[in-house]
Amino acid sequence: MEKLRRLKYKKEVQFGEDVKIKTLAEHQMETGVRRDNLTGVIYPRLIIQSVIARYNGEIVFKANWFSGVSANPYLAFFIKAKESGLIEIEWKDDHATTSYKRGYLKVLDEKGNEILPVKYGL
Amino acid sequence: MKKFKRNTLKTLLAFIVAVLSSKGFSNGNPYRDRFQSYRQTFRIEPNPEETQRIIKNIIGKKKILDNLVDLQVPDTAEDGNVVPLTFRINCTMQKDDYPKKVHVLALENPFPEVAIYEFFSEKGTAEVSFRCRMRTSSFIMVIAEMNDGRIGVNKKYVDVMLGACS
Repeated sequence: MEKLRRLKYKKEVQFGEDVKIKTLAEHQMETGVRRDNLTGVIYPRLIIQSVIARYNGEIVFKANWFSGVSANPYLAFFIKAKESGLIEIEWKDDHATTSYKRGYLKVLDEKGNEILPVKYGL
Repeated sequence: MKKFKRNTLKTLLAFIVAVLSSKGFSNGNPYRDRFQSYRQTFRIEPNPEETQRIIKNIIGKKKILDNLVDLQVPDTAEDGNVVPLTFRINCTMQKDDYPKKVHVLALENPFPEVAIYEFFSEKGTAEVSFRCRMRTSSFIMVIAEMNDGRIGVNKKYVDVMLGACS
């Protein structure tokens, strides 16, 4: 079953601006300490271990999580806009299953033209 | 002659072991980190000695600076399952002036290490907000390891009405 992953940010920004990127993952984040009341069996740990943010394929931010992070983890951080391109967030599970969410960021210069990641020489 | 040789060998071995162990435990990795990387499936009680050891292993013998870390947490949290937390490192993020790793610790949790965040040079400001779990009302500690060896620590007390079930 596909779990919900969310990625929100300002789509069009100026050059040099700090973009706030807000992410949300739907996950139970079982701590491995909780015990079933009836049977006394401990639920095995299952958490999101790491979140990696990439901006045009380059790692920009990294988070390593342990069992102290709340369920349905929300995470907000900043990146600096330099050129328009792909923003990719990767969530990695305890079972090493990964899920992705991608989006396009458009960066404008002072005249209102888009700054493209690839420069074509004429 | 034989005895002398054996004794010298012994001292040499002891010296090597001491050097290796001191390096291995003080490289910035918290002691329980290796323990946590397994899928832990047993109950464990909070241990203040263990938390002190983790903090000591992170900080080591480096100099601690104040007003490097801004920490925003609520004074009282109704639900221990969701405690909102934002921190900000006061630095320019140019060349060497950026935090390599930022540790977030809730001191009274069974596993005090909550999260480790890694930043990179010239990639935006070092500000993060997320939500964490807390078992009882206790201190929340943020330790920032800067790339040039400085260390910033900030600590705030949070009163939790209803602790996270454990």
